[in-house]
Amino acid sequence: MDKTSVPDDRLAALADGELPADEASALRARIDRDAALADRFAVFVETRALLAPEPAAEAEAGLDRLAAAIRASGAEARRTPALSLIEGGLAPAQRQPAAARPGARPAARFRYATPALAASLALVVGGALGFAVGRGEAPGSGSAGDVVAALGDPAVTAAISTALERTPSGEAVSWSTSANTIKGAVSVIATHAVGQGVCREYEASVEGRAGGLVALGCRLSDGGWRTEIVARKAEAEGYAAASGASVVENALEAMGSAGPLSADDEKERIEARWSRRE
Amino acid sequence: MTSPPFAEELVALLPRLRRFARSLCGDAALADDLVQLACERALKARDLYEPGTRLDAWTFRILRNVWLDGIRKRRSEGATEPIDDAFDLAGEDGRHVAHASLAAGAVAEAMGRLADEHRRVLTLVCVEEMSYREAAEAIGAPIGTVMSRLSRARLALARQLGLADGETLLE
Repeated sequence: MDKTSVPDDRLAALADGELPADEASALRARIDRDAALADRFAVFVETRALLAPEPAAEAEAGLDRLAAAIRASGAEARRTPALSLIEGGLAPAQRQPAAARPGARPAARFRYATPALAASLALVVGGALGFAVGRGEAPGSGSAGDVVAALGDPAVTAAISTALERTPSGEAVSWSTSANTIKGAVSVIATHAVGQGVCREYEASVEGRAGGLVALGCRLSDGGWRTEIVARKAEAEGYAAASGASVVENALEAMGSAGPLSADDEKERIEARWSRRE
Repeated sequence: MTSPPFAEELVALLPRLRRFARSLCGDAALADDLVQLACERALKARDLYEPGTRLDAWTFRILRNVWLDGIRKRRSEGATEPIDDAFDLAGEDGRHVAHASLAAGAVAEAMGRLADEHRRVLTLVCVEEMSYREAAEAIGAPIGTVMSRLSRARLALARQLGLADGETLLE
C-alpha cells in the first residue's frame, strides 16, 4: 500500500542511521502503523545485519542475564523453555562442594570439559534474575534481586568501568544512582593474565542490602571491558558463599590463568592503561 | 556441565541481535523485549535449525517476524492492546517460526554476484561502517549516488539470499 510513497533509499538511510532525527522518528511512526512498509524496511536492516561486524562492547551491557537464561533453558534438554520463569539455585555444575576455602585462593579443582566457556559472553549463576534488562527495574522482590537490578543502572556500569580500568585490587569505587536513592560499591578483587589479555575479578554490592555479586570483567581488544561472568555472592557465609567465587575461579582456570598478578605487575599495567606495548 | 552448543551460539549472538532489534524498532527497551522473545522462539524451534547454516541469519529472521507480527496485530486488533500482549499473542501460534536457512558462504557468494559498484558501496557502509559522507568521499561520488547504489545493492542482495519476500519462504 505504501510502495511508492517512501523511496527505498529513505528506508535504507533509516536503517543506516543516516536520517535526521525528526525525519527518522516520523518515518518510524509510519513504519509502526504499516506492516507492508515495515516489511520493506526490514530488508535493509537485515542485509546490513548479515554483513556487519561484531558490535562494540557498549552494545552488550545488560545482556548477561538473558544469556544466563538462555543457557539455563538450553540445558533443560528438550523441554519447552520458559525464559521468564527460570529461577532459583545454582546450575548443577556449580553445586560441587566448594570445600573449605581458607582466605587464599586454592588452585582450581577441575577444568571445564570443553573450552566453550572461554569464548562465552556471560554466565550468571543464581536465579530469579528477571529481565529488566538495561532498565534498572527491580526484577523481583528480595535483596538479591535488588542487587542484580541495580547492577544494570548506568551509575553502576560507570563505576564498574572505572574500577576495572583504574582501580588497584583491594580498592573500591562507590556509586549512587542519579536520584541518589541507591548506593553501593564496586571492589576489585584480583587481576589475572588470560591469554593475550587480562581479566579482573570484582564484587558489586548495594548499601544496606545483603548479598552482592562477584563478577569477572575482561579487557577487550578495542580497549573496553566486558563482564564475562556474574555470579551471586550468597547472603550467608559458608558453602553457598564460596560457590559464587568458585565459579569465577573455575572460569579463570579454564581460561588459562595461572593465578592473580602481583600488585606491582598490576600497578604497571594500570599505569600503562593495560597496553602491553608500553 | 557446559550448556549445549545451540544455547552458547545463541548467547554469542545477543549483541548483534540487540543491535538488529534496535535498528528495526528504534527503541532500546522494545528492542530488548524483541531480543528476548526471539530467543524464546529460537529455543522452542531449535529442532528446525539446520546445523552448519548461519544461526545469525536464522535468528534475525525470527526476530524480524516477531516484530512484524507485533505491527500486524496492532493494526488488526486496534491500538488499545498493549504492545507486549501483541507480541505474546504472535508468539503463541508459532506460525512464523522461521526455518529459512542461509548457508555459511551464502552472503559472500551473493556479494560476489553483485555489480562491482554495488558491492563496493555495500562493503564501505555495511561492513566497514562508514557514514554515507565517508563512503561518498571514498568512491568520489555524491552522497545521492551512494544512497541509490546502497539501496539497490541491498535489494539485489536480499533477492539473492531469498530475503526479499521472506515470509513466503518460511511458512
